[in-house]
Amino acid sequence: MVEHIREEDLQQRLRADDKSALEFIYKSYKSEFLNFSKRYDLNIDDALDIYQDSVIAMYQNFVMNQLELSNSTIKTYLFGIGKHKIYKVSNLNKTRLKIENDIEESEEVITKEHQLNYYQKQLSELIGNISESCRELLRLFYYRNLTIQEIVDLTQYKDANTVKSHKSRCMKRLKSLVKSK
Amino acid sequence: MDKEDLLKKYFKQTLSEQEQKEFYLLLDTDSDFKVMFEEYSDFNLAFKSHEAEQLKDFLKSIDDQPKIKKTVWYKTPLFYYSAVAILIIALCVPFLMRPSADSLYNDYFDTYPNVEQPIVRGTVKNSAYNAFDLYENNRFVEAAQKFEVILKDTNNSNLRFYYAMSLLNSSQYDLAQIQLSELDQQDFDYKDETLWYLSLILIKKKQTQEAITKLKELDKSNSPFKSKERKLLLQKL
Repeated sequence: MVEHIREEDLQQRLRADDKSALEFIYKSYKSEFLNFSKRYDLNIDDALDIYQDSVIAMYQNFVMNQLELSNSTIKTYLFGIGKHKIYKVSNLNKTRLKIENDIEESEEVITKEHQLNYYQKQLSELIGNISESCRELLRLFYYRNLTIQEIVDLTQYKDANTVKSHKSRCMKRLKSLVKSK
Repeated sequence: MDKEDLLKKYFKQTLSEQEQKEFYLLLDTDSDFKVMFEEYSDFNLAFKSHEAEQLKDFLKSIDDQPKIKKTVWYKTPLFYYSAVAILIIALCVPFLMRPSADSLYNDYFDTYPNVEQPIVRGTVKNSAYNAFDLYENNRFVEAAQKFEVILKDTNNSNLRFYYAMSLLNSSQYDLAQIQLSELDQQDFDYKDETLWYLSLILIKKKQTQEAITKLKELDKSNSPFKSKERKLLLQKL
């Protein structure tokens, strides 16, 4: 029961973009994942890289899509993502890859990986050049996919109109940076 | 449904079947919605990529954090210092506990009995009589004087040994050593006893190596005299 409550609590914290929860998950399963990856003849650097990318993919699914795991645990979900990433890196077909039954197969573990177009890449690179307040506001809107009202509730903005006008200015600023590049 | 809500639901992947139909219909028919969608998609993917890089750095920084060493009691500086101190003390114990030269001398010295001329009824009262009488009565200073006088007229090694014993029992160690050293060069009745008492004087004078040499010399002769004491004494030196 305690484990169940803790699992739900952790998921809630991940959805809320809680970095301490992310760190807890990362540390908790790192050794086990690296041991697990030894079955696939990966060197330690590649295995660690895959683990980090898997943790990031998992975390972003919680933050961006407000993921709620009802039929699996965070660990199972994380290892599922990791397994698919190992599969891609190993460049092996499924018949050669020894996929163990101890990890549930699920469609939700196959995370979408989009290749950024040129414009999107420029946007991504220049996000660091806008003010912190702009970056955070756009992040809440486009990354965490919060609504205007949710942003008002979460931040110090006095109302939705303030958020909308600030957001509009921030977008113009970022777009102008892309154009001027 | 509000267009922005539809977009949010699409990117959160929470559109219902009906909402999906509405979403794709708008995307095909509403150019403004399409622009909204593309802009949202651009910013969403750009932020996702940017955040992924930030998260990667964050995870790497976790690995780079110095590991907090779990300090166990046996790895504390205090433990090491204590261990070193105990070791030093333990190593010093044999030295600290080693009996002093004086105590060794006192432990092993005993007055050699008068076996040369026991004073019994009817003993012939010769020149040595008074000397041995004084010796038996622990009047060693006087006995030494008597033996010294006798030895001026006769060079008797046995009497010289008792002269040396009289000197030793009256704490005249240097004089006793001179007499015993002279006797040590000779082969006579109290040769073993001479070596034993000479070694005790050397111990008292802290000439340990010389004392050990004398005791080992005694061992070589397989003398039964003070054999147990010799063994114990050699262990303590």
